[in-house]
Amino acid sequence: MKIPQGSIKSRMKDFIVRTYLGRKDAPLGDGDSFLGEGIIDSIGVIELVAFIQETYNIKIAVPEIIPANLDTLDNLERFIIRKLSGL
Amino acid sequence: MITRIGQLISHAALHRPGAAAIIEAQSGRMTTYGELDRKVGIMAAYLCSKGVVPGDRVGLLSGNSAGFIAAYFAVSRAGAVPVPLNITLREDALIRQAKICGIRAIYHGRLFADRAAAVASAVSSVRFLFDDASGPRSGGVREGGGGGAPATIIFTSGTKGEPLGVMLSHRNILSNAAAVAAYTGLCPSDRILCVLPLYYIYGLSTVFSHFYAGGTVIIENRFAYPNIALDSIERFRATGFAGVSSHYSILVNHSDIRSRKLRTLRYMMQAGDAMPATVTRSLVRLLPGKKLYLMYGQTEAGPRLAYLEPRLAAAKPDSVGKAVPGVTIKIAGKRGECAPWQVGEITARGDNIMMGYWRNKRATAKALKNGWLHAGDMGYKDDDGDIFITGRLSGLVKIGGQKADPFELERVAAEYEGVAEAAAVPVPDRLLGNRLHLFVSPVAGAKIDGKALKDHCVRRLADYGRAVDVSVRASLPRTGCGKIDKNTLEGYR
Repeated sequence: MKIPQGSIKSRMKDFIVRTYLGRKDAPLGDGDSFLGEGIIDSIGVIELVAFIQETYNIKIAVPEIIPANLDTLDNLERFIIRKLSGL
Repeated sequence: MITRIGQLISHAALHRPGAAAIIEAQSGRMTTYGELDRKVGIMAAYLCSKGVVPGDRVGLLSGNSAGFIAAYFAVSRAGAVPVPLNITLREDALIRQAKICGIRAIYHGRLFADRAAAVASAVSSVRFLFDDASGPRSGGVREGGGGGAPATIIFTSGTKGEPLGVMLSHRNILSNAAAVAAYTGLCPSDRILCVLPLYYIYGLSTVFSHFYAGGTVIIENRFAYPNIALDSIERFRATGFAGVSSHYSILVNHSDIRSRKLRTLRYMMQAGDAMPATVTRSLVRLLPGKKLYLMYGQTEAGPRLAYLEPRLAAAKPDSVGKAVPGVTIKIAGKRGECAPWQVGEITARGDNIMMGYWRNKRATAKALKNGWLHAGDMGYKDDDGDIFITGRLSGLVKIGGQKADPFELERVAAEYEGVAEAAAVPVPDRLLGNRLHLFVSPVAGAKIDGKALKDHCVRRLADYGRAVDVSVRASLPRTGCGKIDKNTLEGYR
């Protein structure tokens, strides 16, 4: 699956600001921690995982639900690219 | 004898100053009872030096932290009334609560300085903001109460989105803490992993009951990653865990709990909403030998009213058991107390029942009648006297353990341009217990973008706005007398 450069991050950002911040223009930096900034809670992470699985047709295993994969836009982009590459 | 909640700390500090009161899991930082007592004293002196007097209401706007707990008890030691504020509320709702209470000062956590300042600028009674770095100042602390002032005020939702400030006295809180400590057998070596927000009574009550026993509260703010929470149970040798049903559903379905031993864990507490029987049975199977307490309560009861004996959890997963020590529960029908299996309203009496709602005589009179709390929940007792909850009288819906008001959602949706009518119905959800499905119809010629309408709702509602799904229909069905037919709408889902 070929993904255009930057599209993962913008799609994830759109989902997160719409779902958790409630407006399109909410400030959210690529390195901002969703947890540290109080943006996302336990239900939110489960919703985020479901959204990624559905959007990119990938399966995320329980051990992969960790901040290093999911807690910033940068981490999300790296993680999704890695999954799509089958690594 | 402990008669004020502040004494929970000073008593432990006197007898076991080096014992851990709080551990912050992320940093591993421990605060002993001695240190906590000193922090509370310094902050209380600061508040007094700033003119806070007994009976004043002081808001707390912060995530869970040792600082929040110190500030809560400092406000109390200064004789004032701590009012925890829900950090997920939108600014206008926070302002409304601050105005209702006439809040005098606001403690804020690191991330909430801007929102606290916005509330302060809109509420004339707020004189100053403070945080962990505030003080110390010279001057003593005026111990003692503020006359008939409550020990705390906790906001809950009434019907039609009306915020109600539940006033709990020192006796309310301490009697309930003692009851919880007694039926769970808490002792000084107990350590609860606290993932529940402390602006709700359920979270606060775990602090009260564990401080009552001289135990430890482990603050874990990373339950979003449930395996981290399990790591913390093991790392900090937690003996207890408290959550709403979605916490347990996440642990069962989205964590590696199956491969964990959790050797130190002795008890798990569940309350806030009804836990699906499948989740209860999974927990019993996955964690044999751990006690699972299925509990029932509400803010107005400080909060605990009933619990099911852990040995019955698998056999009666839909029951909330019997009244906690010191509480009497009756199922009230039209002709007095109901017989077993007869459905009526849950009513309760005991030292834990609230003083009333802050400056709201009408709502207080509706909830408290002849010393009995009318809980607003329907239910029945079986032949053993175990209680089963069957629904709510008020129409409020529990989403992720929090009360949500379909009427409030309808009102917010109706403000959106082009909406002619709006109706919200609850929908069962595996993770959250319920979601709300909003149906709207447009005014003639208007076009409604469902996604944009959802954004509008998320911006204006508390956290539960996320759990809203939207459908746009040309028109909404009607009953014979012309009302929107919600029963039919439920069939549209």
